[in-house]
Amino acid sequence: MSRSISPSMSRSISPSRQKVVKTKPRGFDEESVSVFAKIIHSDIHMEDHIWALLPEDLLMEVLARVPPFLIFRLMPVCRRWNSILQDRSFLAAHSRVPSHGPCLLTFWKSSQAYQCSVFSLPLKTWYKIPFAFLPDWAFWLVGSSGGLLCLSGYDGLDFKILVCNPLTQTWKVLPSMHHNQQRQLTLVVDKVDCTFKVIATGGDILGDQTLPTEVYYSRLDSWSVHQVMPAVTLCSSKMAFCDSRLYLETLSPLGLMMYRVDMGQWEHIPAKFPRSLLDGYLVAGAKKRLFLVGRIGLFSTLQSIRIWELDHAKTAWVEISRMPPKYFRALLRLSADRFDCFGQDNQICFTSWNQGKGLLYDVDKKAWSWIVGWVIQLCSTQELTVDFDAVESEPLVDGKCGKMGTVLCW
Amino acid sequence: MIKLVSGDGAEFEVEEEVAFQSKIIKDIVADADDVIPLPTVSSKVLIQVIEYCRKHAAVNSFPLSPSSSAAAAASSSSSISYSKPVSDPALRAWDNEFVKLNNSSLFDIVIAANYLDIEELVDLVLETVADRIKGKQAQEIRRQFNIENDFTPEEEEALRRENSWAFQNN
Repeated sequence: MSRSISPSMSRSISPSRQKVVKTKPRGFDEESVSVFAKIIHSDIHMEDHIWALLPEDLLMEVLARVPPFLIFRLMPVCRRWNSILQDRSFLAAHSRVPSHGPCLLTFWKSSQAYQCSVFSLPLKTWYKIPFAFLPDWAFWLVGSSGGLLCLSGYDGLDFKILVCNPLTQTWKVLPSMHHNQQRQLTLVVDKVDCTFKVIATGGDILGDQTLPTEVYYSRLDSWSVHQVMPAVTLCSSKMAFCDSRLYLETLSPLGLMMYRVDMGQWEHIPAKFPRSLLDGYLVAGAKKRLFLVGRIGLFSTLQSIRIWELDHAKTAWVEISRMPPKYFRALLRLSADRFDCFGQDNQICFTSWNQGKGLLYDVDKKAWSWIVGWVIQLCSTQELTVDFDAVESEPLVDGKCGKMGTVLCW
Repeated sequence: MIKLVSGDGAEFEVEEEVAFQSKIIKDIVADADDVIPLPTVSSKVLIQVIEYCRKHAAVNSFPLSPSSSAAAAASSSSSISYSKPVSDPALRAWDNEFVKLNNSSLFDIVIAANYLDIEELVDLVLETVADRIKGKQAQEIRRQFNIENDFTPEEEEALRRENSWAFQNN
């Protein structure tokens, strides 16, 4: 990458024919050490304001390495910093820096309002993000990815699909699809080129199975029409997206449906589910990895939650982990308790509907841990709309277009 | 062997693989110079930089396992130009010790590493600077960066209120 090296520099260097000292640097003896000591001493005055001398491009690179939540605390420093931190080129630089680590984004509706919180795993901190920036519609969470939320909204007349960034309080209503708006949707963020896609699959709520798959590309701001999904019976509306492939569980024929977004093609994968599987959730891992999380033995005392990984070559599920009994008993007090499961990037999160707890499994480290300060207390009241989703690594910080903004900037 | 000459005239003989941690030196040597004056780098800073390069050259020279070299090949083909975080835990611990410096020494290394284009070192020191400012109050950052607060008290308050969620765990 280009850093601030003047192009003339290499030309200014000429071969020197001085005598070469083979071992220690010449002149680096006690005398020069005392000279350096003086330099260090005079530095103490500099110490206070030293970073004022940092060139602008390096300042940008430093700020780009501050975790996304803490950037907002730097805005009141001065006008220049405030404008740098909201500048598009800075935001682009920020999204290119390796992520500060995985975050968990939760979104749910309490009786009064929508609640949105982000938990940063590396900082072990919850941030309750204000969520009053959207129009006063009824919303349902469709999915989330890369820090963005996709919501389906009803403005009193029509159903609309909306994508928002809670961190920057920006949002955008997607254009209408070619066919029915009310379908199963998946939001996918591509962190490398800072774009997102929304994939609409399956039939509509009236059961029309002949609708083509539609994909929205943020860069084109339009929907394109693809193949119709072959007629299958789906297990659940849970889907997982990894390695540009979308996976759905199917009952008939048994196995998985896979949609290759890059090629616009559907394929059936005849992977048999493990015996006596209950509550099967597909969870996307890093790269090509696809996990299946489920419970074995509903009323048995030997009940357990297990994780399998799809062996792509053998088209078979291979068990990779079991939830240790002490976690299982704390998460689900009753064998009939429901749990929810989601994840991305080799982090799998479990929540129970009644215990108000969140448990995390790190596939790479093979480590189970409770999520501290889990604030969502789910209760059995049926009117509550409850949805969770996890974000893959850190939320993208996109351009802040002001409260009037209808365009997400990347 | 390559000879580096600091701004204050001290000369340092280093092996190629150590010096080539710096992209700019690698480019210069390709033009057939083996004595390289670095007029803006003091010998004090150059000693530290060479120490870093020597350590990293030694660790990087071990052959990568097939899986990690495949991962490296995959990541180098992506458009992201930032170097990967150092994965060797021992080297990472060494790096953490290396950057335990006061601000002005760290500043000198930031400037030198950037000038010499040593990507891993630039990442390390910029990350360290970011760590030092990320939890600080605006007032403290203004002092360290010698920045005058050009917001009116009302504007500053409004900005804080708007982003108050980010301060809630202060």
